[in-house]
Amino acid sequence: MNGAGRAIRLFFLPELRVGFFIRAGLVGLCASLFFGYACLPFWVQGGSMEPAYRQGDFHFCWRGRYLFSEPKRFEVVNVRFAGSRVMLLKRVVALEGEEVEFRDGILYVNGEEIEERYVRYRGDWNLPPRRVEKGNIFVVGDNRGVALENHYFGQTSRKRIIGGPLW
Amino acid sequence: MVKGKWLGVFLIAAIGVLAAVFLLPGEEKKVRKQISLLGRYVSKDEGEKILTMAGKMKDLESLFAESCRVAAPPYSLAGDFSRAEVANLAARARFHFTHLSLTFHDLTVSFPNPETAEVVLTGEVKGQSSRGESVQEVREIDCVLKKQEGRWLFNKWEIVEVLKR
Repeated sequence: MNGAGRAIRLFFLPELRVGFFIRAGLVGLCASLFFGYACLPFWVQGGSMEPAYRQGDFHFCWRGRYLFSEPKRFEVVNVRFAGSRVMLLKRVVALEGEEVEFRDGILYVNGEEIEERYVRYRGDWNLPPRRVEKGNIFVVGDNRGVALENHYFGQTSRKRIIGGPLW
Repeated sequence: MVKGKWLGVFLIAAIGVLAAVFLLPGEEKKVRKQISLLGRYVSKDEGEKILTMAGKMKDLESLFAESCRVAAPPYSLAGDFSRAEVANLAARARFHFTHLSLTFHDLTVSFPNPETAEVVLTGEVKGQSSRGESVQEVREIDCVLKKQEGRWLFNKWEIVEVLKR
C-alpha cells in the first residue's frame, strides 16, 4: 500500500494506541467545553420569532457576542432564565432610558415610528408608553400576529442577555 | 504480602467512601427529589382517572409546609396559602389541560442555614389545553424549602419576572 493509501486508512481506521485515546479525549474535552459554554446549540420551540426563526430550526448561541459590546436595536438575542438550558429568543427594540410603545401594531420609540422590516405578521397591538429602566433592554418577538396577551415580551436585565444566535 | 493486604484495605475504604458520596442521599439530593416529585404530581396524563388525580393532589399537599408564600405576578396571584389551598390551586390549573408535563431545568441549590434551602430553577410547562391549544410556558422560579422533621417542605414559591412589561 502506498503512503497516501496508508494515511487514508489510518484516518478512518486508526490504530488503537494510547496516543489515539489521548487525542480523542482531548478532542472530546475541547468540544464539550466549546459547545457547553461558548457556543450553545439550541432548537427553536414556538413561533414567537417567525418568520426569521421558525419552530424546529437549529441554531447556536454565541456567548462571546456581548462580552465586549452592548446589544443594539434590531439585534436578536438569547435571554436566559435560571440557566442556559432553556432560553428565550427575542429581538431588541429599545434600549435603556428609551420610551417604548405600540399603537395599532406599530412600534414607537421615544415617540418616533420605527420601521420593522422583519415583521411580517403584524397585529393591532396597543401598549401604553413605558420607559426602559436602567440596566435593562426591551425585547419583543417578531411574530406580532399573536395576541398581545399571549406574547411573552418586555424589558429584561442586560445581565440576562447571554449571547445571540450565530446566524 | 503485607503490602498487598494494605492495598486491599485502601481499595475497600476508597470504594466505601465513593459509595457513601454517590449513594447516600445528601441534603441537596433530597431537595432535588422534592422538586422532581412536585413535577411528577402536577403533571397529568391524557385520560387521567379522578382517583389518580385525588391521590396526586394528596401527595402534592405533603410536599408543602403548613403555610407557603406564593407569588405569581403573571397570574395575579400572591399570598400565603395552606397545603390544601396549594393543592386546590394546582387541581384547578390541571383542570384546564387534557395533558400536561411540568419539568425543571438548571436547578441551583444553596443552603443559607442547615434548616433552609434556596432553589433557583427554570420550570417548563408543556401540554394541551382542554380547548385543544398547545401550551408551552417557561418561567424562572425562586423557591425556599424548610426542613421539618427531616423532610424538606416548600415554604415559598415565587415566579421571577424575566420579561417585565
